[in-house]
Amino acid sequence: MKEGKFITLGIETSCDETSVALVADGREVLSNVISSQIEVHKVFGGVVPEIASRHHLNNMSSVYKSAMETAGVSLRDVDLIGVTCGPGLVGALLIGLATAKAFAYAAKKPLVGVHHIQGHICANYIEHKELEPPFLALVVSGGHTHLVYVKDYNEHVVLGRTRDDAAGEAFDKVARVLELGYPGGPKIDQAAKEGDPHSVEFKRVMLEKDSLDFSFSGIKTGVLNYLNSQKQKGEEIYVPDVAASFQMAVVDVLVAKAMMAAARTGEDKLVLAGGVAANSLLRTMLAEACEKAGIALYCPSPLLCTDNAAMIGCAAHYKYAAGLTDDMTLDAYPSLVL
Amino acid sequence: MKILAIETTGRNASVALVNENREVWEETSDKKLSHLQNLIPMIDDLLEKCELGIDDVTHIAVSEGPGSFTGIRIGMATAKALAQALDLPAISVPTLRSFAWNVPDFQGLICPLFDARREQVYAGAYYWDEGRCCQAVRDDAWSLDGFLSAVEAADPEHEKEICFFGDGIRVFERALKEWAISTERLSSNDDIGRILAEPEIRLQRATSVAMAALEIAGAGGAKSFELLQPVYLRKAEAERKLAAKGSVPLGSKAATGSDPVGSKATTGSDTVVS
Repeated sequence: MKEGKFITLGIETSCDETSVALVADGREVLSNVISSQIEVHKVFGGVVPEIASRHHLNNMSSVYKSAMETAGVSLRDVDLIGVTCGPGLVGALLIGLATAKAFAYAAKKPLVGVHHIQGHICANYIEHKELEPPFLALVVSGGHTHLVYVKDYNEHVVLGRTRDDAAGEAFDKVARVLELGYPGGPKIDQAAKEGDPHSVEFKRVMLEKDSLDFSFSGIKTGVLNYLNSQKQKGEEIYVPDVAASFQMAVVDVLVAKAMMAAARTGEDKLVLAGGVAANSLLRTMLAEACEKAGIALYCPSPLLCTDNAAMIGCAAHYKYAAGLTDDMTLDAYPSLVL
Repeated sequence: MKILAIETTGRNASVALVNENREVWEETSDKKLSHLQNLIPMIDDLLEKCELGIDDVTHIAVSEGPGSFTGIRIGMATAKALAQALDLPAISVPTLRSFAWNVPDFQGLICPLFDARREQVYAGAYYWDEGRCCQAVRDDAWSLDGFLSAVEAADPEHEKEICFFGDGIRVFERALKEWAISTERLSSNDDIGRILAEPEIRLQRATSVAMAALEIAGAGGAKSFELLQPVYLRKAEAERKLAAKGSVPLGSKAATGSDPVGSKATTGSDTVVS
């Protein structure tokens, strides 16, 4: 319901989730409808861009309708339209963008393009109403691994990022190798519960001594090499052990780098965001490390970890509040930098 | 009646507005920007030229494809959202059919032909019969030879002149000439230009989409935006490859094989296929 609130319509289509949300006053979610294409892409073992784009187009109008109905608002009640403009799959992004622009033009509403990672960080404002910048953010998803110092709502300093694969990408690739299926994150998380995380000590790639960057391409090769050598020796492979050991190696690096960043910046608030933030080991280990270091840890609930439009609506709200808007020539930026 | 027509399936995007008196206004793209960047500003310029607002529009028409997959989606997504937001009926115009309105007085066979890569063309053939647009060869992804045979079969006595349109001309000009000579539609001394549309009417135009939409609306063909469907005339490449391999069990290596599937990569593997 409107009731004098400032209502933002958020749209997200950067990868394989078609999502539309309505957010009141930046942090109150009136609706957050997510249509996932996981089942569609499963058979291909990963997201196929052309197929994702086709599904976004087919799904958009019904996802929008459902979000409006759930929130009980009409387009007339909307004060602002926010849409992911990058980074992501360009063909997927442009469905959300074309839709958002047409709505904004038809209903004469302001338009704001949102960086997908800023959206992920903002998921925490929705979850934790008291949270305010500055803080440190660890953003881990299928496409991104970033350590970001959030100075203000719209001011981000990237302290470190992956130089090759994103953490979530490594999960997908290793899950494929272990034949656990797609998407890899939850499959490995599940399989690891039955395994010994120290049965194989995969190399933790820390890069240069002071670096806050990440590298996860080597660990996939490490897993492959291990599997091959076991096979050659004729030894049996216990998949849960490999999954647990792989997961532990990735989480060790993520936690260590996050703590390094906290020590360096002196920040005592750490925000976790992105799809991999739903990983149970990462949450547990990060919570332990934060407690030991006297750092307050903020995590979004699993639904807000995945790609969703509520976080985009929230980010758009704070951009608009700072006077940032876009015009109708807003484009899709597949490699947009934060 | 004021139909706003969107054409983004080809290299040049355009929008047009037509009223019940068949008066039409058109706006074309600034090629420096992408279709996504251009489209709404073009619509705004068009309406300003007509001294109208978006609220004066009564129908949203869109060129449904075939064409560039990405281009089709930009037009479709925009048309759907405009119709949904403004609560207007929508009109889906077959892109190849719209070419008939590029030459409303031509009495021959109108053959739009797009380069579909992989040795195929998206093509169809139309002709005018007492002011009605009729189909001579169905719209499909054809091999060039298959399409030309179908054209020949549609007019074996060569009763009609023939005229080719579309970006396929650039790619297949030589093959078209050889075919025309071999079927005795041209002699070897003739200029190929005799069977090609003039450059300025060779490609997709929103004016033609608008005129075709007027005919469709007149025949009761306007519909809800929910029923708008892009017409790709081709499956996604990954689907084709999967189908070629036969049904593959979930999670098996065969399913991932050499398909161009990344995991959730952040950048550019989404190429415009056509």
